[in-house]
Amino acid sequence: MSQKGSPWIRSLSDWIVRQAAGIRWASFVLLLLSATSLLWLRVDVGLVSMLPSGQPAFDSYAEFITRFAERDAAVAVLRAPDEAAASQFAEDFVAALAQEEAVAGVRGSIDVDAFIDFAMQGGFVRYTTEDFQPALRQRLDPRAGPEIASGIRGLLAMPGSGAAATRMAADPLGFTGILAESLEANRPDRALSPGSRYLTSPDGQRLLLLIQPAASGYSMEDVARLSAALTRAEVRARQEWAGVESEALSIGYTGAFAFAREDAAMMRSDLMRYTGTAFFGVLLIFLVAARSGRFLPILGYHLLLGSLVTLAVGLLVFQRLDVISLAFAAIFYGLAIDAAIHFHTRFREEVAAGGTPQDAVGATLAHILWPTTIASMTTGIAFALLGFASLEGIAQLGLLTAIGIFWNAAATLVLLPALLLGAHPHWQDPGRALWLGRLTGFVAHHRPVFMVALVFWVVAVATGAVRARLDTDLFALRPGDSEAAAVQDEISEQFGFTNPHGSVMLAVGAGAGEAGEEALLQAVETTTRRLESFIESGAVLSITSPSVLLPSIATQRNRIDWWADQPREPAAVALETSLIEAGFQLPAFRVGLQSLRAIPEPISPLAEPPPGMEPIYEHHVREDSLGTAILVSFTPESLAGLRVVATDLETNLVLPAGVSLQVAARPLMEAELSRTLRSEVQAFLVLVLALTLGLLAWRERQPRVLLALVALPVLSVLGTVGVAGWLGLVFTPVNIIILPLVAGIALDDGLFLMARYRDEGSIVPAMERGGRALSITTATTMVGFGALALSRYPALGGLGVVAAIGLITAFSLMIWILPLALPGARR
Amino acid sequence: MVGRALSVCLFLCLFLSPPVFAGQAQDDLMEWMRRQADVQRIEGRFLQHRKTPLLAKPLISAGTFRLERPDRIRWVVENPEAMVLEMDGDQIRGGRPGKLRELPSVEGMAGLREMTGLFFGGSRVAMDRFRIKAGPTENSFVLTPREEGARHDLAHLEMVLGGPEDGLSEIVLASGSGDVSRIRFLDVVVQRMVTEKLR
Repeated sequence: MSQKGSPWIRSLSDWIVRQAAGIRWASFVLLLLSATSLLWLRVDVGLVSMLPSGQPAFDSYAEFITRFAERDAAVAVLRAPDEAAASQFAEDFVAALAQEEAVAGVRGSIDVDAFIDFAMQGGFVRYTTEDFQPALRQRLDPRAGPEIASGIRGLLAMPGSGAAATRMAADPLGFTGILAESLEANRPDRALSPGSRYLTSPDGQRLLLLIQPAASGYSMEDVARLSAALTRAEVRARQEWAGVESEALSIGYTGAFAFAREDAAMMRSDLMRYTGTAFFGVLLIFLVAARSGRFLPILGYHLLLGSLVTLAVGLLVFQRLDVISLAFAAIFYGLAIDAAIHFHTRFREEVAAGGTPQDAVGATLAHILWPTTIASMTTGIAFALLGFASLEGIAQLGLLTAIGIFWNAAATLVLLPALLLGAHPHWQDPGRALWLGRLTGFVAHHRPVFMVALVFWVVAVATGAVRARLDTDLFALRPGDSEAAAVQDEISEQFGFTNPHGSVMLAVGAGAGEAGEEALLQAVETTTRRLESFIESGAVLSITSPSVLLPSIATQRNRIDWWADQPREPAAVALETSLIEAGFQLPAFRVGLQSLRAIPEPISPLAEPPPGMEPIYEHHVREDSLGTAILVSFTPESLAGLRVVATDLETNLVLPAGVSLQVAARPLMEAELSRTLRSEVQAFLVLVLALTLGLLAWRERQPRVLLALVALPVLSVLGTVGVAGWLGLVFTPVNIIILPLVAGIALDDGLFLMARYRDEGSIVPAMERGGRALSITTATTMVGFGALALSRYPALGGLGVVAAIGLITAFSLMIWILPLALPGARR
Repeated sequence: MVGRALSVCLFLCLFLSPPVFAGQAQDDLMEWMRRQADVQRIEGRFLQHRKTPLLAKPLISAGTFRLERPDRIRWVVENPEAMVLEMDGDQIRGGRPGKLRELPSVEGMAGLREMTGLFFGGSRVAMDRFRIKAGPTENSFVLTPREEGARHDLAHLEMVLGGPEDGLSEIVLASGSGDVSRIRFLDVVVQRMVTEKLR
């Protein structure tokens, strides 16, 4: 049985035998060093890392998310039985948040006095839209003077109107009210209600607060810090409400922060659960199936070291890991144990056959070096190719697993023999899988029948493959019972903040200056007008534009010119006369009368947004290192409508020089993602097959065998897609990565069986000998991936289910196809 | 115009709402609040004496009021300018008698509810927003907003108890701009909830 292989394999074997102790100690030091990587592990849980890149549609959407969505870090909705309680609870909560270092600021309340001051300093001229100018004009009627004076006296006569009277004196003609109505009528959302101090839902039972975190980014630490701060602040705020039932007041969170917090909490427990299950699950399967408890500690050490080394290397390469990529450990345990099991099985056979452990190492290496190397290369390359995936999380997962696979190949060939030599157990023959041998023999003896059956099966799975569906909705990868998603829906419904499927980003670069900003503001107005024309044509259902809050200097000049032409002086004189006759003291009305006579100058709205409008301003305007960007959102009638609008805006809209326009839309991004994923998966499969073919052609000279080995991965992938199609399983950007992997694993199975076939000379004994290890490795790989099904994160859970289908398909095809292709006996 | 003015007035009423306690005065006010818990309806007349920087002379106004738990309110100014303000749940109407119009649901609505609450004994939450000390006369309390920013609209509020049925007899409101209103409640009728014990 024993054979030494090529001279360099003998040299390798001799070196391992000589240096076994040193290799073991070196591995232990490496284990300790790698374990320290856990101390500097930084995990990203943000949405951006789940977004694709590399195509204009992806980059626009990613920029939109990065510049606009991520900044609205924590959106809090305060719920209370009525508006008064909601406002007071909000004040208590905001006061408590102010004491937290993790919170940079809170937006949400409107300072009414500041708004009146703003209006009376020319704001009502610059911001009141043209459709409300007739109302302004009406107030200038000199005949209204006595009625105005009478009204103010009537107000003063009403108990409890002290501050109101002061405000009436500041704005006797009620221009602030007209401005407020104008803004409200043209408001970007329902939350803007000038009579309210807070962004309040129409029923008054909900308030909106935008909480800016001190730290940017979504590392688990930042999320945990902000989360703790919010919890403390809520507890302090509730102390003011002792006796009020806790259910009566509640706070819900959404926004990128809330999603990241949910991910962080879920991922932490999930990670422990599926990684632990995968690690102990594969060991348990090995223990039960291989009945080799003495090898278990060696195997456990081998797997643990591999995962820690991979993690350490991954951190050196990426600095921070995406939360999806941490699933690599579970996958790694399922895959890496395969080579070790094959090595262990062969090693036991060699020792049981009478060889010394030292001889057994050489013989085992001679048998499994090439299958292990080729199988690891194909699987590793399949994963490494995922590094080019457009989703960053998937790319990291692919590269990390590839690193692990390559490390594992080297460790299996060098470290594992050294560990086995140090164990000195009593090795027994691992036994044979007689049932697999009988099954294979049955197939081989009924070759024509199974050949026809194979054709029918191929037709069936091809039909199923046509039915298979790819869903690129990235939000469907998230848990369905997300509170953050529920709060997001609540805001959309209650406040009118739509969840726009279309966002137009207009931007100028940093250093554009005042001229650049003016061009940008004019572009926002032009874009809004163009979108309004699409409402008339039905392509757009609604628009959320901040243009009413951001009048360009040119627009302001038009309004100021209109104001200058109005009969202001006669109105002022009539009002003065009426006030004196009603017993008022004119100096108290100085501000109001002055604003009536004055002609204001235009002011950049970016420099001075209307007081109280800051939350809406922050929702739509970004001034960062890239420059200034303004967001105009719209809800298209359909995907086709979205394409029409996007194309029109990007190609036909004439904007001032220096202003860029990007249409960032989830449907467009997802449609592009669907196209990209299909082409990426096809490219991955072609590459994997081409590489496989190249490697096989180098080692395998028989065309019939070569064809069978190539057919294994091809049909395994087809079978996986077909079965998923028949079962109604949906492929996602995450679980679709299984397809190249299934190709790699199917080939592994074929290669290891072929290695046995060469030894035994016949498929039946080859299957009896090698099938045992193959069935165990299939089971352990399924456990590795299957453990991911324990994840509450649908993205990972779906990975486990598709992997199980793929692995069963690959194993079944190995038993089915190779007996059809290989000669019955070659002895 | 008048309607708009009233809507602003409603907003102002917010600042009448919140009061609180310190020491004995706080305990006394708390005790009074508890005694008002079963008040169902209050109606009567009011007489307001107002000194404001806007007018050369003080303004004296008179009228009627009717407050009903939980949030039905009607203020009728009869002199010197006839004016009506009504609130029923979320509905607010105001203006000249016979020419009432719907007013927008603004924050003042919440303030008006709080003001109603004050007649009914206020709420602990509302009171917690004020520092409380004993007033210049027996059975009176001076409430000062804890929040500095709120003192422009309401520098302090003085509540004088001892009205019919142990209710309010007078309120003094002073703003940071020098506006002082003294509101006396006359011919007040208080209707309390009928309890099982009384039956």
